[in-house]
Amino acid sequence: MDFVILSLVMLAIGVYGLLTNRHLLKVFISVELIATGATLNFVTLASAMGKGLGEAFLILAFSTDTAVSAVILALLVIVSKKYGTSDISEVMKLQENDSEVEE
Amino acid sequence: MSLDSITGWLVWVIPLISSLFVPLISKFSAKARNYFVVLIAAITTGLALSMVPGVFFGSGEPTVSSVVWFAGINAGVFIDPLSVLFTSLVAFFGLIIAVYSLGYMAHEEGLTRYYFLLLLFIGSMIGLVISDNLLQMFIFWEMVGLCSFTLISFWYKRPESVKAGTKVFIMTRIGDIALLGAIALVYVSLGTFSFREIIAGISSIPIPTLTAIAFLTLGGAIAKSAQLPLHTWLYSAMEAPTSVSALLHSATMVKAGIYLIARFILIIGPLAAALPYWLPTIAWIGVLTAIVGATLAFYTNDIKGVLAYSTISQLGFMMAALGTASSASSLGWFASLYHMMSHAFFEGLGFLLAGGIIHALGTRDMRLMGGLKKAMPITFILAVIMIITTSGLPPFAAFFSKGLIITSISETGNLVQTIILFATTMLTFAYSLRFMALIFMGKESDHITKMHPHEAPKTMLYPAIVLAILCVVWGVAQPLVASFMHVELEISLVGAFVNLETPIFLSLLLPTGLLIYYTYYKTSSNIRTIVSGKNPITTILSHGYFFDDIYNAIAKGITKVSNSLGHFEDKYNLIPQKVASGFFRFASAVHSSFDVATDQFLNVIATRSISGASEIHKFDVLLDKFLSAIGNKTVSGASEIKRKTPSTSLQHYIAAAVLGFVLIVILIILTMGV
Amino acid sequence: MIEIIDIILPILSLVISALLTIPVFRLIRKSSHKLALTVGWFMAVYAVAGTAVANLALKYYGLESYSVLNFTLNGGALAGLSSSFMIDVISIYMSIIVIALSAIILIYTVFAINSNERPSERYFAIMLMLTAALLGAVLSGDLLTLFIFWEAAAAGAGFLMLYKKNALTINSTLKYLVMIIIASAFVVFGLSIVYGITGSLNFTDVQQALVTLADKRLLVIAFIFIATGYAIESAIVPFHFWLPDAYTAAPSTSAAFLSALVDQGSYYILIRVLVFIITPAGLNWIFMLAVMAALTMIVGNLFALIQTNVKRLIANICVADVGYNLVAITSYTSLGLVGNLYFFLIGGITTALAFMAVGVMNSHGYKTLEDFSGIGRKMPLVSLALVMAGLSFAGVPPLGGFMAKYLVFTSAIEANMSWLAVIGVLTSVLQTAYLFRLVNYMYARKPKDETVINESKRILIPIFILAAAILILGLFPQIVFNLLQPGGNLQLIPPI
Repeated sequence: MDFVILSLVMLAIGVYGLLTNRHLLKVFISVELIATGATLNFVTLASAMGKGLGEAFLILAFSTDTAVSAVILALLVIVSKKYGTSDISEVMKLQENDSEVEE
Repeated sequence: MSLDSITGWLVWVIPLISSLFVPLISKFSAKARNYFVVLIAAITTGLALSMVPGVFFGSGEPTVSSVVWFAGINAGVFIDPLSVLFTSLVAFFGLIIAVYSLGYMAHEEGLTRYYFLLLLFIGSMIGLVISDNLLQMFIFWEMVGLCSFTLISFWYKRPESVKAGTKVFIMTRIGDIALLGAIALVYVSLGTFSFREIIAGISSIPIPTLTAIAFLTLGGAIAKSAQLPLHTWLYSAMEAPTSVSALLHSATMVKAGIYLIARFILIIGPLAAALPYWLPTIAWIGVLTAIVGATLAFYTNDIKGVLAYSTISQLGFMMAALGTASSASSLGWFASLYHMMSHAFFEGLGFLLAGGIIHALGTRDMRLMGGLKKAMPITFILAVIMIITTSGLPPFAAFFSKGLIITSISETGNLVQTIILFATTMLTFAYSLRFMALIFMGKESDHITKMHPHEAPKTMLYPAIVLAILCVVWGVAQPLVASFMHVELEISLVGAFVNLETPIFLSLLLPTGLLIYYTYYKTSSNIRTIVSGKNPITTILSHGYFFDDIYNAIAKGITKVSNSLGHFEDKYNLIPQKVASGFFRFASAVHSSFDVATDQFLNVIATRSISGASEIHKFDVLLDKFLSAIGNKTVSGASEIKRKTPSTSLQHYIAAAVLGFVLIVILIILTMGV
Repeated sequence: MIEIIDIILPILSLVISALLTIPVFRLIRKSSHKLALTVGWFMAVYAVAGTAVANLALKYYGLESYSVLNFTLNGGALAGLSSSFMIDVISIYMSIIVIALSAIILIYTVFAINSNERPSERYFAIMLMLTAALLGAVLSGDLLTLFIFWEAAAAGAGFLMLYKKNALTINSTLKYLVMIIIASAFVVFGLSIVYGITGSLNFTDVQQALVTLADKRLLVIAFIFIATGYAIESAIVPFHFWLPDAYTAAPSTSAAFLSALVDQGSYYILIRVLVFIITPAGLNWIFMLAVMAALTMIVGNLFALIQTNVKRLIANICVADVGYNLVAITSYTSLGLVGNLYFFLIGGITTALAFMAVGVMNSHGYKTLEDFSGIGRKMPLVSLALVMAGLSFAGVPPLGGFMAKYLVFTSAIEANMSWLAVIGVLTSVLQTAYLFRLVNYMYARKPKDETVINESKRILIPIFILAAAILILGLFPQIVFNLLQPGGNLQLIPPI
């Protein structure tokens, strides 16, 4: 039960973090918190059921989460290299004078 | 399947399928394509006319043949006098126009598209009138609308054409929605689309529902048949090539509304009279449309405009007659359909002649015409026939048909309507005379001497001559038509002449028409310059009773609303943003006060441990400092927030998602209870 | 008899060919017949995958009864640990439309990208991978397998949006990915509770367990999380904000692919979860979904009304389409389900067609409504395709959109949800209005410039295949119904 509450708290912190932060790294951390919280809950309940599905799920869920996280990190690197900022709103402003916007 | 029902299928399937071959054949030769279309139109006409004897000698009961189309919905044909009458008219007129187009459209571009749409239209229109269920009918109803829209925009390189097409499509679409509503109501009440099953079950529908259905159906008919207050589209539709105007916007497509009401009266049978206000509404709409159309026809200078407004007015006559028909055996029902046919002949003739004249002169403005009698003698003679028929002078077709309509109205005893219709008849005579005078009479105008007009080619004249002959003989055919429709007429052909109304009608007609004509033109200095004085009547007429102005105002209103919707979108986007920035502000306020508190707390402890507890004074100072620091930090924090309030949409997304989450929770709680 | 290999074969063949695409493209680049070889390669790929799907479909339709069949990878000994697959008429139908639409859009992509001469092998490989993931998702038989395949597809979609790396695409892809990961976390959270309640994730088991469930409090919490998650992924108002941004920023080829396949995939999941797993008997979601459907139809169409960027306008129509799909799900009748699945197909084809046509116009620099002035004269054929798509959206017979909307609204009326049907019809009128504004711009306005444009003939082939499909399916909806109800009147909705 403790773990269920913990995972709910992680979920809440993650959503709160997404609402209040614009720094890309913080956004990324919030996202990871949400994902991990959800997975934790699954594992908790699966272990309570005493079946092996929890482990199987954990591995698969981590792999998909990791894939998405990798893309976000890659984007982060691109943004900071290309635009010298890690603030989403800054990138949004840049877009207006970005020459490559047009298809 | 009997022979008749096979014909009933072929008569609309053949043109629809052949239309697909038009682009293919045009690859080989343009001529082959044109003749192919004429051939298919002729075959269709043959098939349509071959159904006539079966109905004529039949019992008047419908023949139905249907197959499963999808998911329990049937497609089928419904052959009865009404559908065969319309089928024959559409097929025959399609043939006339196909032949006429050989000459009229000879030098146009995009003819493959034109002929494709022509065949598609013929097929769809026949499909509309011969369908045995509402859904199939509605699909064809939409398809003829689509054909109309694309044919009006035929010269799509001219912006006015496309604009007119769009206007027409949207205005008729209003009616389509109403009709769809009626069909949906029928389906909800009876669970079927088929005419036969609806007839069987109609009495089980409660009267209020049936009234709603009837009025929604009327809405569909009003839009399609250009009745008040949705009549303005028909004039815009005159952007189409004249052959198209003749076929769609005078002879066939605009009659779909008449067909719909006539069919509806057949379906609901004796219940028609039980519906509150329904029939009187139809009659009033028809009567008012008739007079409004006639006055507008009197005013316009556009040769096609006169014919368009005249069509509106004549459609009003038919509607008015339907308004008196409490059942299919009433005089009004027959009179309406009978006039529908004669109108197709004389108005179609008018359009064909107008096409020839526009061809020869290159203008639609009647003020530039005059004295055309010499240059185009055959056209002139045909025009005289057309004018006599339009005005309802004996012994041509409209005399009998219009007489029947006025008889049916006066039989109901509604004096106001009868008087208005008489007045309209006089106006009709007057605008016909004006039409005649402006185009054919008087001296040849400068424009005409410049253009050296010549008689229209034979391919354009022959169809017109055929129609003129029909104008002449159609009136005498009245008893035959009556027995074809299986209607018992109390008034015989001879009776029509001696009927009480007719002499009054005649005696009023000539003098009043001439009087109007006379006063109208003697007040203007010149026959060519139409009333130029600015009096209320001319203002009203030149604005077409302000209908279009009202619609434009409404459209402008809608544009305004949608603009303000744009503001709404901004505001809507602001809601999540406000939520987000609220969070943000709250968070940083907590954060900064917490920071300050810890800082100062540690400070206090440090200072205390250094300087001991005796220095209470210092603590006061510290407290002061603490408070002011909090103040400062909050101020700087706030300014920071102001600078950095999240403006990216990611926060909006999340905030919106949070709102959505709350919405889901609320909704689930509402359904499930706590 | 269907074996497990029949089901895995299409997925596997697409994965392998996706991996092979990169070396094959290296070879192709050296040759002098690049385009022909590229097209040839993809035709071969789709021939193999298509045969595999056809094999599955034919075997299934050859069965005596069209019941639900469950399969596990290891024969069911350790059901808990194995990925399982399930086929019924709906998954067969979905796999057919996934493979067909994917093939057409890929061919379009080849033509569209080849003309720009960019490195593209990874792009194509991802498209094939995505198709494989979607096939896996529609054929999967338990919530876990569905989740994994679907997440793979949703994450892969992010790569498609990123084809060009500029601020706009990076920004919207980032937002998309964040939303997707949150959505998946919510779904996992909900699934974990469902698993906790029922002890299984297999579709049939869960459904049975939920119907007989006595205490529904935990289920309600689970459902709220799952609903939120999938609502984000299928862009139901008010979770829809990412969709217009993402589709506008993505290149048209991706937008076509996403709208036709990934979007439809998300509706499929909604159906699978709502109609077959958490049924109204388990938890009454009908009212909630009806409100969301109404909101989605209204907001989607209102926002489409005020767009000036044509691509964004069509992206907003995608949002509105979600609403119409929801109406059909809400009705919870067999007719509604058939209508919904038909709507999928038509909606997918129509949006793909619109994005393709707009993509061709965008590639010449025409983007806003103002730019579109008089474009009907400059590019008559592409414009015709766009107008067909527009008419189908607006529900003008005989195009497919009419039949689709007709079925959806009829099903709503049948389910005593007439008010939803009324909202649907009214918003359709709104659709007519703004689509005709578009047509008006395209044909009635004078063009801004007099440039003459040579339409590329190649790219018209896939476009007109789709246009013809809309017309044919509109005229003969029976084609689709026969796929869905092979034995006549098959009861699609599980008995309550």
